[in-house]
Amino acid sequence: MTTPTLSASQSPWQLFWRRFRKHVMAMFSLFLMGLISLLIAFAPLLATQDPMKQNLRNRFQPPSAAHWMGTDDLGRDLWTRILYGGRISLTVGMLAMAVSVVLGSLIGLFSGYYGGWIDSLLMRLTEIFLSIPRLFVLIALGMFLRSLDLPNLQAGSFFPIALVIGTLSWMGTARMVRASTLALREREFVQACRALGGSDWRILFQHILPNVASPIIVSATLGLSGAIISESGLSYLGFGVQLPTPTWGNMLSNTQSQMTTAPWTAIFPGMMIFLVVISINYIGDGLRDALDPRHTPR
Amino acid sequence: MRNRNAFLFLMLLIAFLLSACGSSTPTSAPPASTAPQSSSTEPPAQASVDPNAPISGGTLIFGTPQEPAILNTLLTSSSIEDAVTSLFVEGLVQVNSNGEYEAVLAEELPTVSEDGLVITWKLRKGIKFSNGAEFTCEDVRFTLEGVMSDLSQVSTSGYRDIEMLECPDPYTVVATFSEVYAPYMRLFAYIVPRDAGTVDEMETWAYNQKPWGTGPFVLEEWTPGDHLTFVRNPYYREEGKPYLDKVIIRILPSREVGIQLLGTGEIHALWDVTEADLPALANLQKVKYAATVTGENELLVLNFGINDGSAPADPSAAPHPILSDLRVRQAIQYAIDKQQIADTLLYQNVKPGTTVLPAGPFACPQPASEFNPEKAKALLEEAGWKVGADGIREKDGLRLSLKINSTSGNLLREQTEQVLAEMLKAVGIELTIENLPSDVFFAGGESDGLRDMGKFDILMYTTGPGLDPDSHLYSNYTSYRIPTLENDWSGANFSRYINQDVDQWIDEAAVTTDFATRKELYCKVAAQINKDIPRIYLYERLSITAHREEFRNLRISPSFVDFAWGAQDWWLSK
Repeated sequence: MTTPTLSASQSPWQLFWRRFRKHVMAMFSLFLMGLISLLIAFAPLLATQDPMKQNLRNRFQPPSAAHWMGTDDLGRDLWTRILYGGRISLTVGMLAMAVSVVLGSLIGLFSGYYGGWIDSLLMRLTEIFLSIPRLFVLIALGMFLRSLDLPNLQAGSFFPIALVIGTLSWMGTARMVRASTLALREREFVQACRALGGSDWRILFQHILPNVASPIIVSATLGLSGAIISESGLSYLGFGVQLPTPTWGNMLSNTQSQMTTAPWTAIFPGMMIFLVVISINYIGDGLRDALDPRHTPR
Repeated sequence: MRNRNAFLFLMLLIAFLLSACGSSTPTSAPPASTAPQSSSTEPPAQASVDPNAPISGGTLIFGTPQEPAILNTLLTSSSIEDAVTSLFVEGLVQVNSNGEYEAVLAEELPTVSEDGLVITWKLRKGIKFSNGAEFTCEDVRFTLEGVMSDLSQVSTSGYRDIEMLECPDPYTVVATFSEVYAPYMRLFAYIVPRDAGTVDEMETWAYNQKPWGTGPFVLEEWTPGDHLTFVRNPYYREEGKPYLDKVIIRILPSREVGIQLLGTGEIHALWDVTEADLPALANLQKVKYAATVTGENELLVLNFGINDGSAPADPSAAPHPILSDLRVRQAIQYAIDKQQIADTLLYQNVKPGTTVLPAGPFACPQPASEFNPEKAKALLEEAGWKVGADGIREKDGLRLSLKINSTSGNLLREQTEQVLAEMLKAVGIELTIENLPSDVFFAGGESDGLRDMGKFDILMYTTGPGLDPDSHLYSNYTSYRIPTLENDWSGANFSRYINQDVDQWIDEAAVTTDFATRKELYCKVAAQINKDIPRIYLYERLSITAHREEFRNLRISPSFVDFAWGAQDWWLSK
């Protein structure tokens, strides 16, 4: 026996990467996201103009050599604003995703593992959050944050927006994690750990958490796209990023009246949101396939 | 599954992009303006070969994104309801295109007694409602009873000063006032027929849903959520009018849809278009628009009092740290290029704002404010504001940073705010933007509203006097109308502007019947306001109705809610 079996020579990460690579759309999306992230990270170098610089004599210019994506309703360079706007949109998206994943995972884990009254309590909480009209909560939260008068919670900083979006979008993650945890806690490896005297914390975070990673990652990627779109809705409610700071959300909102006269003002920010959302979804798709040991690769 | 959804999404997006590109003809040219303030009164009725001679017949379709709920003038609460009722409701007087009152159901404007307390009207004889009943003094009396009823939604201001309304004969109305009410004319601008029902049952009248009147049209059918059909009033007083057989008011899902339908010719006119929609209209074939100034300004309200929500009744006791200084307010006015805003953002369709009273019989034009950033800088220097490290001025550790609030979701306002921020930055003033949904923005003090409580630096919205400036000036500029906790947040003097002379002139004008004297007083008020700068008038708002070329003789009333003003003269060319 000189030829070792293939699987024996591979670490789980190698296995994962091997599976992920086979997912063409996911790989392409990963490349695209990488590219977009680079563009945004190097915005000051790539931008051709000042993102705030208005030129009212140069409004609604179609795409040209001077303005690669044309100019907007105040004569600002759209390409520049897309680059700078992406910084905020993606940061808000990532932050909100982090908040939502941490909240959702913890609630799902505790709820599924402990069961009983803790489960009932946490799941009722989840249902309450699911049933409250979102707009209503947003207005109330907006008023609350405003009344606190804390400097970092005021209009213009992204932290409150990410917090609010995250706080209102963890429910799906929590339910998915709970369902997986419910099944996992009865499995042999968990019982073995318990028999060896492992504490609840050890079981939860060292044994169950890695096994529920796949639903968490999938819901996280879905949440990111939702957060980017939600952001523009929040500035409508008077908190969050305010004009003239560009974000993809606020660049897209209110452009419907310009659709016939200056379609590029809507198309480019819309396209960026679309590309990021679809890329993230495909990456999530690829991750799920690669992480799920039972899943047969396509 | 997700892959398939994503694919569908992609296809949809492509289709969407293609359709958008296909129909676009990029342009930044101003829309072709037509008859911005038409003043023709009668259509030239000549030989039939004349293309401008009115043709009788045809069905006109008017689109609107709002739907009326009730068509009883005494109970209406929205502008669309007021607009639709103007198809069939008339008054003793109406406003003509110069903003002056002219007799409609009265033979002439009323005579007023020496002391200004007794108003006598002579009614036209032989006027009939669309149900055949004759119009008499009893209808005027009934209307007054209706207004004074607890059920009525009409403001009783002015009406409650009518001590007695007598009908010595069916065609004479004598109204006796307990005190002089100078804008008395507006009290007689509509009539509710006496056989509508009894006043105590006003809310359940059949009239509310199936009204009639003396106007050119009468409601035939109303399909809620879809359309209202009006037909010719058979008893209309002018021979051969109205020209149209039918007017259909079609309820549309949105203004954007309306603009598309206007382009395809499915509707003949679209009511209540905004200035920001004009470029989209310019792209449509055979579509024009009619517009008139409304007497309202898009304006900035500057807060004289402290902006912490304590709502001081006298701002000199708790002044705004920045805006209480007149020099700063002057500097802001100098820094704003109003002409630039009107020319670019509004496509040269509006005039820069100059006065609180821009239109109507009491119009008081004032010299336009000067755009002069150098003067602005000099004034700020003089006031002690020195340029700091980041280009924003400072004084005693305080940054010259102000916040502007307006209603969110309004593209034009968002554009204006950003342009203002840029203009103010050029003289060293920082302007941050924070917009709120309109119900939050306009909320009263009892629900923590920022206007009433003075929790703002600068507000931007639209307001202005109606045809008679009395109530607007009184509530917006007198010291008695500063909203505070003590007065239950009543009043609209959000700037907390106090000027004894202004108070006195407004009081005096309200009890003066002589037109010229009143106007002189109001013009003194307008001039003084421009010296003290509690508000900055950015541009004069328009009331715009877009229409197809074949819809002729559409005119916009200076009293902008009655869109059917002159509906008897509407006609459709072939």
